[in-house]
Amino acid sequence: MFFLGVNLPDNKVVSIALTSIFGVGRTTGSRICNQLLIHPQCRLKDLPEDKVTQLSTLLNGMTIETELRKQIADNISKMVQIGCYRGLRHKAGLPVHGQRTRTNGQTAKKLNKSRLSIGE
Amino acid sequence: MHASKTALRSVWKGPFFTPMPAAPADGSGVMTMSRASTILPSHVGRKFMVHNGKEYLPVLVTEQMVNRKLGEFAMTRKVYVFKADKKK
Repeated sequence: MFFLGVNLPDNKVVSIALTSIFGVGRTTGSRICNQLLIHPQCRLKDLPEDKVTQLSTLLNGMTIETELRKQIADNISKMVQIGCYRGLRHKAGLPVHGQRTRTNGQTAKKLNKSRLSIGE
Repeated sequence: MHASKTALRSVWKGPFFTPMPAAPADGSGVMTMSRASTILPSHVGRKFMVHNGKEYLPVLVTEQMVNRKLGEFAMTRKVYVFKADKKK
């Protein structure tokens, strides 16, 4: 089933299926299900039509996917632009929260530079 | 995102800052060692010389820097650069 350009797995429980959306985790997923009175064991393929429309309107109002990615990139580029410590660490591709860099720090090296602009 | 949440301070205390003297007439910045001091909206456009543990670095305050700390803009570490190879 397609929502906002994301393919959700039909065979999974709704709250879990929703986590394939960037910006929706387990907590948000189950919260959405509670809000729309979807049974916790209901699979996405068994979801009735009216719930599907409710779900899509709810998801439309949330900051997810591209919008969220853009927001994150904006926040980081703001820090880079004013030249504060966190911005420089992002730019250099090093850990931002004071972790060690003698060893480890590979996640930051992998991700931080790519977070400067939108995209994976 | 993350840091702004962890750096939360009780609202009733207000932001931490040290009162800064008026800018010197010759245009040089105010020398300060108070790196933890919050940048206030009234500081926009001013220049500070912030201590990094060794020397005083110039920090020109812009509007986006408000609510951050002075120390965030004066680096304490020197970036290590590899020496260029002599022979090529």
